[in-house]
Amino acid sequence: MNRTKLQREGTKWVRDGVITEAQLETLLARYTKKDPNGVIILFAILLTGLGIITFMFSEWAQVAHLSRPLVLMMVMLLLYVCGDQLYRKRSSSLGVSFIILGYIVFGTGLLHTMNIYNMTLLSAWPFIIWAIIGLLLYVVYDHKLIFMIGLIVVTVGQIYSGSSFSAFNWFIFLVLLFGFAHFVYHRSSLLFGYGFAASFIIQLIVLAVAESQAYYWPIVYILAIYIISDIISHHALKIAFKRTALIAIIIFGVNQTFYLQTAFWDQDQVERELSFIIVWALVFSIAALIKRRKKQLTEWVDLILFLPVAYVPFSYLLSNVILFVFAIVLLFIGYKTEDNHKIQFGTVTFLLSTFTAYIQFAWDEMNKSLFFLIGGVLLFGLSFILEKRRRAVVEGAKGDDV
Amino acid sequence: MKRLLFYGVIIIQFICLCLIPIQDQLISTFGETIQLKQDNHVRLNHRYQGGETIYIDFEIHTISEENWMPTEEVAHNERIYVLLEADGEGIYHVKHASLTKPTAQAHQVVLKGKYRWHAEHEKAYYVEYGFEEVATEKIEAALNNQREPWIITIKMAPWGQQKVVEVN
Repeated sequence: MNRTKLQREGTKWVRDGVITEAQLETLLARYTKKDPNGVIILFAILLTGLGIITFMFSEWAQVAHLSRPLVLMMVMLLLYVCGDQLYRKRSSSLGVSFIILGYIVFGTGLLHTMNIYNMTLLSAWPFIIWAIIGLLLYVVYDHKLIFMIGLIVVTVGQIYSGSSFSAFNWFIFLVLLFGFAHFVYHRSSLLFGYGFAASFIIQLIVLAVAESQAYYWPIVYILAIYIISDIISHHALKIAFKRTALIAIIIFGVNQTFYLQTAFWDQDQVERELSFIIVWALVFSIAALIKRRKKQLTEWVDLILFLPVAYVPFSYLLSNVILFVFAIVLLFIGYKTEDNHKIQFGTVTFLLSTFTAYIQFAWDEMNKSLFFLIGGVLLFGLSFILEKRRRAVVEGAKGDDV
Repeated sequence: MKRLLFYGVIIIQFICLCLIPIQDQLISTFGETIQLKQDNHVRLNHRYQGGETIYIDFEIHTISEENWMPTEEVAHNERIYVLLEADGEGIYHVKHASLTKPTAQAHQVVLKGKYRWHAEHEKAYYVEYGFEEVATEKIEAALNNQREPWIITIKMAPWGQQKVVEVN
């Protein structure tokens, strides 16, 4: 609960005689207001950083050759020195934001200098240097923003490698796996967990695309993150990895439904590889074993999202049915155990799968305006019913607390 | 300790940024000079990019099907090794293209390129090398010469980098 909410609710409690005015004051004192300056600084970095990036890749190339890297180095040095001084003497967040700007100038400057010297790039190696520098800076300053920017650099580097060279860059992936993962594990914060899992999944999707693997290979990769979330002992990482994996596989599931529908009339389009089934069976049984070992009864349902539906006839129907089943079971468990988060997650999945099915079957048949209108009304109705149920549970839970 | 690391990181970044102009200088010193021809068919419509560089179409961009060694399908952007051979006037033309690195004999060089597409009607494959964008200032003299295909002089470094030095 945040402070504003506590204040609002607290006034009611005082009015109802649940707590006294003085008790509310003591409670409120425990919730310090979040520093709004942090958000401002974040946006300042974002805007200035974007400014630098667009400037670097614009028409700023008329100056004579050697002067340009020199200007870049001066700007970079200035930002680093300013940042370091500010960090030690004034405010650490302001200092770190200057360091981040210096870091952005370095990376974009490196790419820009290569561009003006017409260096032929045949792989995304500048991104490896850029990412490693980010890691080193993180070691020096130990600030989460630097870490997250570094994670963005590795991810973008991998996407760049995939799009420009049609190749998966193993070195970039290793930097993530050995460099970033080390800090993710030891700091074990929710934010790092989300960032790492997202980067991991995105990079492996690049692998699947670059190596022209069949569309269902990401199932195994996402399942890998899911398994890690089950094994790992840190609570924050467990949550972050599991949620990211589930969100990824649900997005994948929705995509798969559409893909398989278009492929339905042309069955040869989906190649059914034997090698995938073998790898999948292996990974899936590991996941199932862990589930059995840990006796996580309520989480068995997660695994149905990872089934390889492409191998079954009428797969596009099945893949949507699976999303439905998952959502309904999740909602059921959520209501049963009064787990508000499960209910929210189930609701979103349920709406998503309803809408997917709706697009699947009504898009071609109906007048477009009618399509959107009915779709909207349908979602309104659904959300109304689900929200009513959820509120009942939340109210019930609150009643129990008091 | 962290102080030291901080200085170290800054120095590494300086070195990285300095290495690029230095290696450019090294190409000029140690590079092997070869001459390439502009593509005849497209020489009148160079693609202008922003105004400060011009995209040159090279003759070695198009590789006819008989010179194309790979038997399996090559993915877009995949790395291709192109073997060039000099003619009597010292201008290099495509001998063949393959997925593995061929050994160059006398009067031959190997260029690394990226496969772009297959032109069905021309019965040819299209490969780009990465030095197509040339600064306008290098081309100014050649811009008056619109009748004959340009001759482009390129320096090739032993470590695989190339740069355009002259366009005539």
